[in-house]
Amino acid sequence: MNSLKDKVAFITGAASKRGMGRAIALRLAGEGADIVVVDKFSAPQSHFPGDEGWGGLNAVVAEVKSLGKEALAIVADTNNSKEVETAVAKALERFGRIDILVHCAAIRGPVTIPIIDLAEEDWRKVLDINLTGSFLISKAIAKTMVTKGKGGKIVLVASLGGVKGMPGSAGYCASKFGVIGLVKTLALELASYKINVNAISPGTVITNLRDSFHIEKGQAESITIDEAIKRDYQKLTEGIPLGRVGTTEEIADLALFLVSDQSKYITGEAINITGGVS
Amino acid sequence: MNSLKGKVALITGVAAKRGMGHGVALRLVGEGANVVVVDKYAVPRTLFPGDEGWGGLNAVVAEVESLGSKGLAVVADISNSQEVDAGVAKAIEKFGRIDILVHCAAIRGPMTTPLVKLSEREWKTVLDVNLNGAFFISTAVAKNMVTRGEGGKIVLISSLAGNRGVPGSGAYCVSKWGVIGLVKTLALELATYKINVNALNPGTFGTHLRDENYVQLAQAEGITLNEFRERYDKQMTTKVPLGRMGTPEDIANLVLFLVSDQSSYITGQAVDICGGWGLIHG
Repeated sequence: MNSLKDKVAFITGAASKRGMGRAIALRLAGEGADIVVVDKFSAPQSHFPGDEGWGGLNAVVAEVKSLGKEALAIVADTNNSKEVETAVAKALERFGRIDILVHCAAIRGPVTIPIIDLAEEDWRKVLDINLTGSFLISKAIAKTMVTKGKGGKIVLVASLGGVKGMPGSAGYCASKFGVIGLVKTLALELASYKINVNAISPGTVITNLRDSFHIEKGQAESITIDEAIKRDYQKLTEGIPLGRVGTTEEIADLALFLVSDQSKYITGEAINITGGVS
Repeated sequence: MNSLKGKVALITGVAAKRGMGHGVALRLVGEGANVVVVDKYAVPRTLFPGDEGWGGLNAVVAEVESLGSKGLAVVADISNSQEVDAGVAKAIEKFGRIDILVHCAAIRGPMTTPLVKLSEREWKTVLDVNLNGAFFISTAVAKNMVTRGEGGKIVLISSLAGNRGVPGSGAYCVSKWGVIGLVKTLALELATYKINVNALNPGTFGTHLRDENYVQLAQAEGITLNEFRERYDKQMTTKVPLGRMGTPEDIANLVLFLVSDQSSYITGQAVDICGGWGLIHG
C-alpha cells in the first residue's frame, strides 16, 4: 500500500489518457510516490472518441494530487538533450531527488512498410525518438542517481518487437531491440551503484500508440475508427494464447514490481507481458 | 497482505532449512495461502553446520501454523509418477483444490564433469529428478486445475543454466533448458484454461543445493568445508554485478508476483533473477 513512500518517480509519456505512462503514474502514486510527469505535449491532440476534453499532463497532476501525493508536470521532448537536462533539473529543484525512472514515451512509426520501401527519414524519426530518447533520459537520470548515491530503479518500456522481428515495422522493431540492449548495458554499468535497470516488453495493449494506424485504416477502408479498432484487436487477439489484449493497468502492475524492493535482485531483464505470445 | 487469502499452494522441495521452497512457503503463507509442502525427505540429511536439529517438513508446517495458515506435509519423490499422483490426491483430499504450484525440488548433480566424461547413470539421475519430476508434478496439478475450471498459477524453478551452456554441468544445464521448454509449452496449452505458467532462472544463491558438491570438492582439495565454502562463495559473489548472492527471500518475492493477480497477462516466461550475473556469462 505504501511501498513507495518517500520515493520520487519520473515518468515520461504520461499525457495521454489511454497511455501506459498515466496508468503507471497513478499506480506508483497509489503506493506513496510523488510523481514527475513528462510529455512532449502538454495535452495531446487526439481525435479518438472519449479523449475529448482530456487535460493531458495537468489532468494527471490533478489525479495524483487527489491520491494525496505531490506532482509536477513538465513539457519536454525526451529526444532533445537540452530539454531533457532542463526537465531533470526542474524535477530535482522541486523534489531534491529522483528514485525511479519509468520511460514510456515512444512512437509507433510505420506499421505496414517493408524495409525496402522505408524512407530514411521515417527510419530516423522512429530511432531518434524511441532509442536516442531512451538513451538521453536514462543517462540524465542515472547521473543524478549515481551522484546521490542511494541507488535507484530504472524501467524502460520496450516491446515484443524488441525480441522478435516485425514485418512492416522495421524502425520500431530495431528501436525496441536497441532499448533492450541499452537496458542490459546500463544494468551492468550501474550495478555497482545499486541501480536496477529492467525493461517491460508489452505485446498488444490498448493504448493511444496505434491511434494514427487506426485512423488511417478507417479512412482507407471507409469505416469508422471504432470499427477499425474492433477489427484490429479482433485480428490480434486470435494469436494471443490468453485470448485478450492487455491493459495499461497490467503494465502498471509489472512496473510497480520492478520499481519496488521486491525485485532488488533482478536487473538487466526484459520481461515479456504479452498474454503468452512468445 | 492478504492477496492469497483462500488460495491453496502446493510447493515442492520444502524440507531444507536454507532452501527456496522454505522461503516461498513462508512468503505465500504470509499473504494468506494455505500450503501443501512436499519433499522426498521428511527431514533432509544434515551436511552443513547450522542445520543440525532442523525438523524438515514438520518444522515448516509448524511455522505455517504459527502464521495462522494451514499446512500439510507430504513426503513424495517427484521423480516417481505414482508418488506424485498420491501426493496430489492427498492435497486435494485435505484442501479440495490446488490454486498454485511452485516447484522448487531439484538436484545439482555434477558441476565439474565434462559431458564426454559423464556417465549415463549420472545423466539419467539428474534428468529424472529435474526434468521428469517437473513434468510429473506440473501435469498432475494442471489436470486438477483444468478439471476444476477456475484457472491457476504454475511456477517452475529453472536456472540461468536453462538459457546458456554451463561447462562441467551438462546434465543440470540440459534439465533446466528442458524445464523452460516445458513451461513454454504448458503455457500455450493451458492458456485457454486461464492457467499462467512461468519459470524463474536463479543465478547464484546461498541455498543447500550445492551442499554435496561442496563436501566432495573440499575433500578433494583436502581443505575444510568451511574454508571451501567461504572461498567459493566469495569468488561467486565478486562476479555478481549487484555484489551478492541471492537469497530465498529474493526468490519468494518474484514467486509471489507471479502467483498473484498482478501478473495475469504474463505467461510462458522465464525470468532471470541473478543480480545481473546472467548478463556477463554465456
